[in-house]
Amino acid sequence: MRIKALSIFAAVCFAAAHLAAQQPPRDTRPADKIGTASISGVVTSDEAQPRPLRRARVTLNGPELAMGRTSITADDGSFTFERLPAGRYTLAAAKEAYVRMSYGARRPNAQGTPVAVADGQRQRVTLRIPRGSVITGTVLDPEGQPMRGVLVSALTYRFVPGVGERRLVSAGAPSSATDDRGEYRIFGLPAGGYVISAGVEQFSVSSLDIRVVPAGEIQQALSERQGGPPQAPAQSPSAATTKANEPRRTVAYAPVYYPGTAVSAQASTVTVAPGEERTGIDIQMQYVPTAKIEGMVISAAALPQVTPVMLNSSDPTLAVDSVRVASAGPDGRFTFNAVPPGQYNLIVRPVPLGAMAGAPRPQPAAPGAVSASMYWALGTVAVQGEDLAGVTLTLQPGLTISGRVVFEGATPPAIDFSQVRVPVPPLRLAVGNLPIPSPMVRLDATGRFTIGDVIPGPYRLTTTAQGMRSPIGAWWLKSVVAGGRDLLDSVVDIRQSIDDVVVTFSDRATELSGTVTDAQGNPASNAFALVFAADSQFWFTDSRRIAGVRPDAEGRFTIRNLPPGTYLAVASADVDDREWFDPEILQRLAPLATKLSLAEGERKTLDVTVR
Amino acid sequence: MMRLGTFIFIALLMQAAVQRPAAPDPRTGLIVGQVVDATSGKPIAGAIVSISAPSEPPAPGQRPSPPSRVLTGSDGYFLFRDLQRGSFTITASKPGYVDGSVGRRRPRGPVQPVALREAERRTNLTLIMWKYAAISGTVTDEAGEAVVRVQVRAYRRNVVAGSRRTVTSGIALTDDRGMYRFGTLTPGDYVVAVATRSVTAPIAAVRSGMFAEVRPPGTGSAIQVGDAVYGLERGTPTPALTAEGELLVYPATYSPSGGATQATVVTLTSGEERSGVDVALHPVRAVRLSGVVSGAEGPQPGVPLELIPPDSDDVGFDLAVPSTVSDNTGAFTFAGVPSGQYTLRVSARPRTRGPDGQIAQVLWAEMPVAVGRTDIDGVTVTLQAGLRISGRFEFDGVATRPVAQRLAQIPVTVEPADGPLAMLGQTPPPSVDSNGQFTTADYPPGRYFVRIGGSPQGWMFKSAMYNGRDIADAPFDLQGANATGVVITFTDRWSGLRGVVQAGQAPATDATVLVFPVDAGMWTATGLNPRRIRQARANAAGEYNFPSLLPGDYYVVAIPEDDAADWQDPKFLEALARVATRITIDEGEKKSQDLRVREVR
Repeated sequence: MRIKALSIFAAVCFAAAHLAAQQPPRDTRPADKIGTASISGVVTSDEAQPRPLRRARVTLNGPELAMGRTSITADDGSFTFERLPAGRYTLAAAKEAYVRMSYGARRPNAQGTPVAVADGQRQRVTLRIPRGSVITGTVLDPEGQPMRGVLVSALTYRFVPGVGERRLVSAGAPSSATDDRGEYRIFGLPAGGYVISAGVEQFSVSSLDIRVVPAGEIQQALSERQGGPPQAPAQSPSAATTKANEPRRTVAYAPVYYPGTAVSAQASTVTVAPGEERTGIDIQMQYVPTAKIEGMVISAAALPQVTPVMLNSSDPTLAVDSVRVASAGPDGRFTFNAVPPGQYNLIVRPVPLGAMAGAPRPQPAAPGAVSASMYWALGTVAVQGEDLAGVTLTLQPGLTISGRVVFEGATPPAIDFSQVRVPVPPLRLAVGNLPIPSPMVRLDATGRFTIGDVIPGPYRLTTTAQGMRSPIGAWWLKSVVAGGRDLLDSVVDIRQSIDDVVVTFSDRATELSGTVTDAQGNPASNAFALVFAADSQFWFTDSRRIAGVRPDAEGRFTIRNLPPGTYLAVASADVDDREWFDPEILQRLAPLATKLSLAEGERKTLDVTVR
Repeated sequence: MMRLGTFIFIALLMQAAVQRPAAPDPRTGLIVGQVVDATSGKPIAGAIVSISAPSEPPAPGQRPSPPSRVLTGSDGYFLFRDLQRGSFTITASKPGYVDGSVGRRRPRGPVQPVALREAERRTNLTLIMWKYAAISGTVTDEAGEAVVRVQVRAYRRNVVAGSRRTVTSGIALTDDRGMYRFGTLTPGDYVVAVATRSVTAPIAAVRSGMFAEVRPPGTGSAIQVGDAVYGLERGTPTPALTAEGELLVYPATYSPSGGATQATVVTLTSGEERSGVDVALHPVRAVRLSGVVSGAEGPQPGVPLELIPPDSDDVGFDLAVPSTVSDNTGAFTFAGVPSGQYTLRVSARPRTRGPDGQIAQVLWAEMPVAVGRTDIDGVTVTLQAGLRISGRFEFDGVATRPVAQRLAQIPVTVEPADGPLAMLGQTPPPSVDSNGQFTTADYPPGRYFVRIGGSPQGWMFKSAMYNGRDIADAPFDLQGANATGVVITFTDRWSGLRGVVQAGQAPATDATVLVFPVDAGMWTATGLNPRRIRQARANAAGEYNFPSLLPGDYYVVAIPEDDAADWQDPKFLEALARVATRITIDEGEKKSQDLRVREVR
């Protein structure tokens, strides 16, 4: 089961403080400024002998401009942007069949280096973009015939911060559908390694009944004279006699990965150099036997008319799960037809108590706690082509998490908790990425809170936009402790109700500030400053012990409210937003980083160099 | 992101044995036939042949025949058993082939039902299938460089109601080599073109994000030209930018390199592979066209406009033309317009009805514009109220009048007599009240037919009279004021035509019967759905039938179905008229006329 993001704690924190300063809305659009600077240059191919590229689209963006600009290169590859206000601008170049690159970036999709111009200054730059690579081949059906209309995609493993793991995602070049000769062609790919997948869009086919007529029968029919006396036809030469209810074998096309496996982890990687055309990447589609899954939802009380049951593949490499839904009736029975082989999760989303009159109410965990009102079920099933019957999903009540909020500091606030409104963001169950009705969060007059209807499983505490380290007014979130452990520091497996959570706010926080410099010692504002815990047990998505910050124009940065401990600090221009939660990247950067330690409330200064 | 977890589900029933009761009912019909390739005549294995449910209900005591499917073997034969009496349609399909059907002698031509008598055994059927044909080629620009990821269209040409029409049959994108391919074309005549569209938006609309079609220039998908933003549309070649900041654009270009009238016609036969249908693009000067849209209350913001080139009568409904929208001062700008003659018009009509159920008033504008080599500014587009057509239904006869609810469902269609066909389908249908009074939506001034899309049970559409003329046959001029008092008459005195076609001494097995008016003026300019130019496929016994044919003077002639492609071409009608039979159908007459097959081609 994958980790779920639980942002309801954050909601409690925001609500309990209720001290955030209100800021008036700002109109952040600058007025049109006319300037006297200009940036011009050429776009060339990224080869040993660079060639100028004509009809390339060059974009220019910067905070000084109300609206970005586009220009088109002339036959000699040249472009120009005139009348620019002084400032810093990012440029990028794109052309069909080439890979879009930002100026100064080392790889596609990465941030580039801004170009600074002063009033009256004319700056010249050269943008180099590599020609895209090509992967092409033929898709055959299981009988070896070219197959039309199959969607072939180039996939690559990428860290998906939302999930916290590496997944196979589309590489950025559009997928290609096979033509009448079964051929596909994917072009414009950045150089690299790809997993090639072929799949057929699902559509519902009313049951076919295609008969193969034996030749003997046709001969016999042709020899019967028209209008002649009816002859008792000879029995069919085939030996097997069939009954009307002979079970039908159902098959499906499984997605296939080059060179020919249905398991993505066993796929070969096709590696292409810049501008290379790789042919012969052929794939044969396979039939896989599909199976029927029959099961029952078990509940202590009466079920509603319809209870949806969800089935989704738990292939860990897929970036997006596909979900099928069956309806269980009042008797709890449900059926999934034609399921291809694989590992699956079965999920019954929380069903409210009102729909289950007579369900036993669990004992309240603590005074003021809310009894569970939602019931849910989770299960796993392995399908191997054989029908499965008797799968059971037993509905369980949700868990309750309750505790209190504490303020540490010189002057604790006087808060009327009954006035506090609690915004509750929706829960996202990572299994199947399914939205679940928000659990109820309530605060009583003494600052105790209760969260009900929580589904057991692994959770990661996260927040909405501002991040775990952000202050709320003058208060900093210090810890969320339950059972002697700080829940902010790891993945939390919630298996039973908890009633002793203590959320602590402090009026002191650590502060780490410094300057990001490049190898020459100049401030570098296009690199991220990264500070992360030295202990890799804290390396998970949205961990508060990992900070990635973009410095200001002078390369300065400040990070506040890192919990006390030992850290590594480094700067890198090679990471994308939130990619620093990828343990592989932290692993790579750790040896290049500077070690430091922070004590409670300590302020420290540190300069980091771009590696 | 791609959904890797999806899959196609096919249930195959491969039964080796035949399911039959041990002692079959002797009163059963049987059909055996063979599926063959149109060009080689060789049998086609692995085709799925399906038979429809019969046209008649089963006789008492008999099991009904269900629709079923059979797979042909290596000899191409198929067999259907246990068939009751009745009329069946049999079709065959296989990947790589255009669907075939019994009686079909040309790709997508009319079919013949198979009429089976009680316990009859038909063993001589042949189903012809045509292979899909293919067109491929390369698109290059003036520097000889491949043009990547641009949209190419294949237009199929045919003749409908005397006019040459083209229909979009395929859309493809060029790949990184500039190459495109249409691999599943029905044999016929085609032209290939690079389709280009452009969208211009006022700067303020782009900044505020109101105009979702054009994104800000900073994204690389649009470029600022003067005070408008010109979208760099996906699928359209990137224009050139001169040193002075002017655009040179690529207009819609037909293979090999010109306009629609200079296009090379590619004639494809079954299975033909035609490569090298290349398109060479040349950029042209493009200028700005701007002005103001105003209505009765002054300048009108938010009005969508488009520029229609004159030869787009021929192309399909999805036009690729320059378009824009007026900003909040009513001003509009088209950037990047190549020189030429255009019709500037409002492009979108509301599809809704007002709160009282009446169709909302619609404002129109349409005007010719000649674009040269210099910018044109200060064009005034004056919105006018559209005009409506109203009238009533009359039922001439003794059969039961349709009830009010059914009256409201009668589809009154208003067909423009000239102008781009793209207007069809953009207006809401007319409103009909329970007394049989109808009122259409608003239309711009012009010439129109008023016709009926379908008649109530038992009634035949007879005429749409307005000012003494039948405007279902000849268009009327909608000008200056609403058209009121149109009388749409239905009659229960059906008139029709039937007979038998002979070839030599025996009935013709593969004939088609054509009917067209004696008045040659009615052979052209009768819109898309002429009522008096008709075709009926004779069945295997040579019998043909037009169950409803309006009274009048006609030519009727039978020709081999093989020769019937594009028969509505006026030149062909002239030749047919010379060998056809002249008949007159009176009101209420069900005329009978036997014919002999004529060879005209």
